[in-house]
Amino acid sequence: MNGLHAEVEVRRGGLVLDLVLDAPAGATTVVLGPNGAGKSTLLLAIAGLLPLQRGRVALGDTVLEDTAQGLAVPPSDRHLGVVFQGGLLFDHLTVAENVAFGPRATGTGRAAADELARSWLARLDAAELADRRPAALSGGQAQRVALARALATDPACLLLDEPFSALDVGGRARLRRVLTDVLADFPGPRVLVTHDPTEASLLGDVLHVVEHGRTSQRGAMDELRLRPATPYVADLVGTNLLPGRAADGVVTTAGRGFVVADRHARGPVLLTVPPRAVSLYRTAPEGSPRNVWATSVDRVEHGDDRVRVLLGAPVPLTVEVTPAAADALGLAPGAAVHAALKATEIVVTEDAQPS
Amino acid sequence: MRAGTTPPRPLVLLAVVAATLVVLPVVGLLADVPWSRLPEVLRSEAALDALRLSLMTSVAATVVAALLGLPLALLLARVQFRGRRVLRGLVLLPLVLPPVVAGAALLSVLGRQGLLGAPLERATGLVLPFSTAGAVLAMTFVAMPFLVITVEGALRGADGRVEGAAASLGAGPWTVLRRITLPGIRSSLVAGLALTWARALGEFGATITFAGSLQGRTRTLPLAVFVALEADRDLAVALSLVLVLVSLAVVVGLRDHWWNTP
Repeated sequence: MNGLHAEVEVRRGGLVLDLVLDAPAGATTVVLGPNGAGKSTLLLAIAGLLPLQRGRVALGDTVLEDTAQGLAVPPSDRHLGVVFQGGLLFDHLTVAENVAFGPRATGTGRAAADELARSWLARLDAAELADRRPAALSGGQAQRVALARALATDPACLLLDEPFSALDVGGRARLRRVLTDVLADFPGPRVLVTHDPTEASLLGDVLHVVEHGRTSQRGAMDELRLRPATPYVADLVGTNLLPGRAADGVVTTAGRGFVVADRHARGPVLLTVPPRAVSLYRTAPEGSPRNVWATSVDRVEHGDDRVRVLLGAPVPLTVEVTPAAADALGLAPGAAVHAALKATEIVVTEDAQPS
Repeated sequence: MRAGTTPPRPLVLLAVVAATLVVLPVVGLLADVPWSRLPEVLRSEAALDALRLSLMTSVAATVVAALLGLPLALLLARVQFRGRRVLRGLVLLPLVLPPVVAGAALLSVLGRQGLLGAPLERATGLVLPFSTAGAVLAMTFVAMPFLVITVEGALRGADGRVEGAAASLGAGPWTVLRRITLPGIRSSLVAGLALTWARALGEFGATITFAGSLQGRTRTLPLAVFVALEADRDLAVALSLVLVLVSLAVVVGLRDHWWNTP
């Protein structure tokens, strides 16, 4: 298949970006990292909008840039669908004209391009925006239009830069729903840049973590959660995320109800459970009985100063304990334990309303 | 404005004097206009020649300034190169240079004995000094910086990333320029063209130095006013009125661009 392969060395301001990104076709590769890590720079470099100091970008057998050969295909000929941060819509054109811009620029007639634009807008739940100006759009609407504009060029690869930044909860949920469908239908490589671990774990098949311009870890979410290579990965990526349903201060997930501090949440929610918010006991502890359950240990990963434990059914959670506690509890795969979760440590965020 | 920020009285007085200094001459000119004879004066051969010539040369100078100034503004705004700051400063030189010096400089280069003027005449027979083309050239020299600074400022203020977005959608550099860059700075472009045209229309010093004052060929409106002040005061005032009205129209037309504060 035609995967994206990018060996990129770029200097931009104080940042030195130096990494290799492999994004297979038919999968969503999430580039995750803190702000200023070089994620957007990476996308701009792949798109040909920032010159490489050194490196090679290829899409399948097509070489887009190779500094060793002095080859650089101009951005207009790369056939990459880029959704830029903030959308970067053309303010002087209507939404439909924005989406039709790519097809028009590559030779499609006016009427055909307009028809194509409107059909993409309809697919992205934005048909009613067609005749508006970008200035009259909300952040989420602008992102959907930007996505339609990128897809209308029939690109070989999708590159999305922080599509969720600056969106409110409703906008995020709606965009995520649209994006999930679009990504699933897109046959080429999909690269999504974000600093938000929640979006990363919801949309990504493969994660590629970037810190200070370099790859710090790559792999599936479970792998990262269990064996975080850096404190950033451990703290932000390694957090448990569970979909659930909230009512009256109780969230039901995996068939179990958990008491949470947030009494107002209602309907579909996401639970964020930091690995250190879970305590393990050999015997059932006293305390709020709803947030204590009996389970078993699936896997144990020993780090330098922490031990990560993956719990089995009924609630698969990654838990972090000190090496001393792990020894005292005799944690090993198959061991029976009781897990306790502190209500105040659970973060509840509203999720998409089913439509 | 908050109370208590009124400037000291003497300053208010000086401000009134300043405003009077700006407004009074124009009012005085209006008082001098031979209103009853105006149509007749403006239909005289000297007036019509000057009006026709000024319209033609100022528009031609604006077109030339746009064709040359736009690429220069794009270069200054979008391309990193050595000496860019120096070039940006030099481009603005005609704004502060006395126009008569500009005319003298043009003579040195393009006069019949000039650096380029002599070879040009030998090769093509074209003589620029004291020709209509020379008047257009003098106007272009003096007025083009208005277009360059206005457009360059707008380009630098515009979000260049949008052009990258257009390129990523398959648009080549010409398409990006035509469909994204220029429409994006439309109001500044219009303002720059209007300022350039107004400056070209009012050009006096460089024109008279480089192109002389030949009726129907190089005697534009300002030159005609100057000549008529001695011989036919009514004509001078009538032509001045035309220039005042054009200037007012430009200032009012550009109000959103220059003084859009409430």
